[in-house]
Amino acid sequence: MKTLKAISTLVVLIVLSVSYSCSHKLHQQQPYSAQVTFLNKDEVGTITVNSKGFGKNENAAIVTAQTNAFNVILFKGIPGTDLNVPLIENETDAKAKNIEYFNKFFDQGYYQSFLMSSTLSENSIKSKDGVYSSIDLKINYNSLRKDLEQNNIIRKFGF
Amino acid sequence: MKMKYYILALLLLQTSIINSVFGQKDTTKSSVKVITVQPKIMVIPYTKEGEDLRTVLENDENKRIAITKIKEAFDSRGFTTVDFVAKLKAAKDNNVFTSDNQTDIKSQIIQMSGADVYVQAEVIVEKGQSGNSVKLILTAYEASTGNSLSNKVGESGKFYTDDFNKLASKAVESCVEDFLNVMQTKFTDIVNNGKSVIVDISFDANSQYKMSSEIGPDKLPLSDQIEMWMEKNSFKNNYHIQGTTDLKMIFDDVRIPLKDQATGNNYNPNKFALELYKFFKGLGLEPHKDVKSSTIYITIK
Repeated sequence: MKTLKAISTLVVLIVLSVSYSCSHKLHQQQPYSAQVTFLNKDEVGTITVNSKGFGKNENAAIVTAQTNAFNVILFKGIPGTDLNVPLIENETDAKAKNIEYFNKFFDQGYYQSFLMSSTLSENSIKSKDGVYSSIDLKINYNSLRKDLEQNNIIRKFGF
Repeated sequence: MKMKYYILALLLLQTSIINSVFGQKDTTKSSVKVITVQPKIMVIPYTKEGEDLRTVLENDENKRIAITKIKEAFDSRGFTTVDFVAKLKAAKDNNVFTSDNQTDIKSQIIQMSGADVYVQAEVIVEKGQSGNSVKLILTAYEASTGNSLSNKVGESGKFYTDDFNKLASKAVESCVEDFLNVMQTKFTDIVNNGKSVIVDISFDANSQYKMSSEIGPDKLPLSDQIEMWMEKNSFKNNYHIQGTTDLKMIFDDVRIPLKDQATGNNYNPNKFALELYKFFKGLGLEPHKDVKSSTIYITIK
């Protein structure tokens, strides 16, 4: 009985230690959508885009659309705009070396610090699997770039 | 027995804590950080045949606005450019200009500025019945090698206005961000793959040696020994030979690292030239080295 209790405690501790180590891996492993289109550019250093997202409910769909937009701006670029070249050149490398930052950015909603506005461009479409939303986002990419530089995710302009 | 299990459990917990602490990238190294030497960038106006670089800005406010807006874009990235007008004034004050030939004046300004990169802005004003517009051609290149760093064409769009200053401003805003982003990707290439230098090796008029001379302990032709050295000492084995004759050997693109690979300190063409100089001395030759910006001239006596 005592041996069984000790073994159970051990197993629980092993499970806890493994899950604690794994918790530092990047959560957002799912591929993101490239359905992000340029709308307009108002002030210098900002960009307005339309992004689409799918989720279990409208809130989840909106969050997906927002994170899609940031993923595209950070790692893919938007052709024909000031962000034709993405802010971060190597996505795999950057995400692997800066796990905490990107966890904070996407999972903990830090990206919202750079979101100047977010409005539904049309009514969300509900289906049996979930909700599909389309939102217009105004993003302060100048401030985003500075934040990436300050956190050593990217180099400042120059060498 | 009970004690053993508790000790084992404690060890496991400790291991996972250690994993999480040391498994992360250490971004806060305690060693002294070397500040990488930045390129000097100067924004200059484009001049046509016969236009005087010294006075072209005085006569055209659209060009002045375009140049200022471009410099403002560099400032917003936290980068300080070399001021063209200030350098021009310094050149005049020091009587640098030795001729009135426009090509010479431009070369003299470029040489005395010490800039590594030039951003040339050409402003084109277009007037028409369907509206007026300003186009901007922006080019950036490395002064010493001519390597292109970025090229963009900006357009203001057509408006029924005579405010060409505003149109010039719009033309810059339409392309300068992307222009700088492309420049940054080229800088990243330089950081990762090395900076380009040119190496020009020739002989003094009275020298007894030629590129085909068999010298050194291996008695191999000098040109082959030079190439073997370049193979080992260029960064990531990246070099290109423009041409070799019996009297000259030119490497028009040799990559050198921005940082010394052994010490982590800043590295530059002067240091590379010194290594090359030592190589020639090691072969028993008498070299003379001269470094102008990113071009290394070695003359063997």
